Amino acid sequence: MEARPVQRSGSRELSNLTRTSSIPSTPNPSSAAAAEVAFMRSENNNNNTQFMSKPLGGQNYHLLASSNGGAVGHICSSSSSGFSTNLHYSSMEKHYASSSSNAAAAAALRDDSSWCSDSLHGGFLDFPENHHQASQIEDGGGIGAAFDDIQKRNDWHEWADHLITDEDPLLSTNWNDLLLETSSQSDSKKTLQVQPQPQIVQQQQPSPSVSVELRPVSTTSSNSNNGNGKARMRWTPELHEAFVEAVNSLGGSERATPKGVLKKMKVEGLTIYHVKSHLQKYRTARYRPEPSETGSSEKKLTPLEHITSLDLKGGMGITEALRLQMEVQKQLHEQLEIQRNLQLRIEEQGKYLQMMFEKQNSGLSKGTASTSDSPSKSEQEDKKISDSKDHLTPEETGKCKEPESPQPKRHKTDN
Amino acid sequence: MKFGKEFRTHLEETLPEWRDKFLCYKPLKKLLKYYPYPPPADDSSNSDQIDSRQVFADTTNLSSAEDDGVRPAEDLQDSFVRILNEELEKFNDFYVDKEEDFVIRLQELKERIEKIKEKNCKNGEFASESEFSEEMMDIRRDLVSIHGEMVLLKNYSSLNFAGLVKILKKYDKRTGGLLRLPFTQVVLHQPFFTTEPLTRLVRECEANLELLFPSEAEVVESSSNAVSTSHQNNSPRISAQTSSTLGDENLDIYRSTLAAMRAIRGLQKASSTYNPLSFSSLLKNEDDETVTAENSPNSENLQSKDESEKEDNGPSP
Repeated sequence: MEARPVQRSGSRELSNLTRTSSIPSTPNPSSAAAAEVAFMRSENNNNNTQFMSKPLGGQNYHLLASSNGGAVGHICSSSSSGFSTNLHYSSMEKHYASSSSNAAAAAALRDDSSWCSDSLHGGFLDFPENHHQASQIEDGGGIGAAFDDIQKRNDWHEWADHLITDEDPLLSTNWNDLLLETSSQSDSKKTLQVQPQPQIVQQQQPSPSVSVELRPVSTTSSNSNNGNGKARMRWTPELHEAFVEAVNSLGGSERATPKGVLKKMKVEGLTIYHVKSHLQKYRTARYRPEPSETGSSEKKLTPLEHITSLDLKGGMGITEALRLQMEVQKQLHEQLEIQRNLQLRIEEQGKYLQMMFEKQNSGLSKGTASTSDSPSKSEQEDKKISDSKDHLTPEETGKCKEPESPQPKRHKTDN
Repeated sequence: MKFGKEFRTHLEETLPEWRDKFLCYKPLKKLLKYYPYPPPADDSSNSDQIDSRQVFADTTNLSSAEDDGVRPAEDLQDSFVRILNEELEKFNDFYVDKEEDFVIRLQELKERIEKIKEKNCKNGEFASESEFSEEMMDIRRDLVSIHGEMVLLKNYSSLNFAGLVKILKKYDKRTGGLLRLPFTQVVLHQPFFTTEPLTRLVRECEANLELLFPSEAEVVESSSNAVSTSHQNNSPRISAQTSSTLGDENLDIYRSTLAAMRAIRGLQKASSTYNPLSFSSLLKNEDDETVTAENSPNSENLQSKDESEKEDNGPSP
């Protein structure tokens, strides 16, 4: 079932995670995989350097927003969503033997389609960096949020990085080992990153010109997606702007053909399917407003009716109603922002504490392995762990109950 | 239980086209509840998307070939993960599709605004005032609509995420597995949950509305209080009043927005099982401002934890 990284855009994410071999196996059997790994590492590197300073982080993120003719979109092979155990490798694969090339497969390996959207642009900055630095677009709030999010993703990617190989994934998902490896190898990763980077530079040399790039989809791999073409494209406003320009230069939405638009846009990785569907949407979106302007009467009656009937009903005019609706929507939005931040925080806490427990567990098991142990001793060590847990909790403002629940279970399996 | 109820209520009240795009929380819960037996055949549940009987069939087929005990759990995990993956794909597809729509529509609106601005600038006076105001009103209504839909999409994302986390917790609890944390990490990076581009669109929308209809700013303070209380108590009344003004589409959106607010409020309320990581605890903490070791929920937690640990350490070797 294994070892087809080229086509494999699919949900390899945590099946990757089960592969315990990691960096040492960097010289991957297939060049494709090597490209993937190298690609990711280079991106990681970029991410690391990019995220050192906040503005750059913002810039990275706002590569999306750059107006330097560098409209950027991202291919998100939706197959890269998902988390798979090995059994489902093959079932997932069929979906998206997709536009994901090696690099996209790399993106998929990231278990992260947002990888496409954010981190990939870290990769972009490899080349067009000079261009985009000039055109940094500021958006204070957005940067802050984006920065945090990207930081988190970056961390995740770093450790997911280690676990990508071509070997057959283990059947038993062994999360303990997984997380342990993360922490232990994060140091060694840096040095290893340096080496592949030149490799990636040579391999993927998109023209650093104004032409738009879609980083993940290099043309090197055999793209078996032509049949499927199902890789999802995430249309950003900038990419859409480029699209509109291309369409307008070709004579408008009615006259433009997908092929022409595709050529005009010169965005790597954009397939004709993407353009086709987007063009269709664009046409329908344009079609309705135009007739309404010209075809006026019937349509315009209804708002008038509403106004008049409303005057009868309660004196709330359209503007009032709209205003009210807007208020409610804004409130909902605020609430959602709060909720989302909470959700992220909770997960961060959980992940952090989980790793702490893993670390302690590893230390513990190493200790017990050496001694032929009596249950009492392991009990003591259990107590030690729980004591140190107690230490943690006041620091953490008490968000440790969640990871506790796996903890006792694990002890049971150990014993 | 509470979440399930909130979730289902929200499903009923949200935009009709979106209903089947949400997480199939209830069927999954059922699957877990009756595991290792198949969930009872039920017409209403079969209409939901996962074929739980099929899932069970998978698990039993595999388990019959091997010993019981170890295999079923793994098979369930595989099936479960597969189902969740499919759900994720569904979310992603829907979300990205909608996002694309919003990008297109918002850009269209901006173009319309430009056009109408030009029209006005060209002529000394308004070419035809009624047409102008008509068009402005249309634009405004469309802006509010698209804003509403975008916010609802965010809500979609958030609610599905919450549902996933909940169902994963249940899975872990039921099967003793360790699926939740890793899977959640995967989910965090899915397109449907990376809503930053959407947030930017929303802000852009709000900014445009502010620009075009600045009078809203004045009304904000006065109406916000009114709105916050009113939509809780008087929402039926308000919607009756506003129904005729907003038009069907906006009405749907308005209703769904209110439903979403209710769902969020519901999530924030304390649930039956205490959980320091729940919204309610965290929000309570934030209100308190000072979280010390004594008054943090953790202090209570410590006591209960000690008790539970004594239990654990007692019987276990």
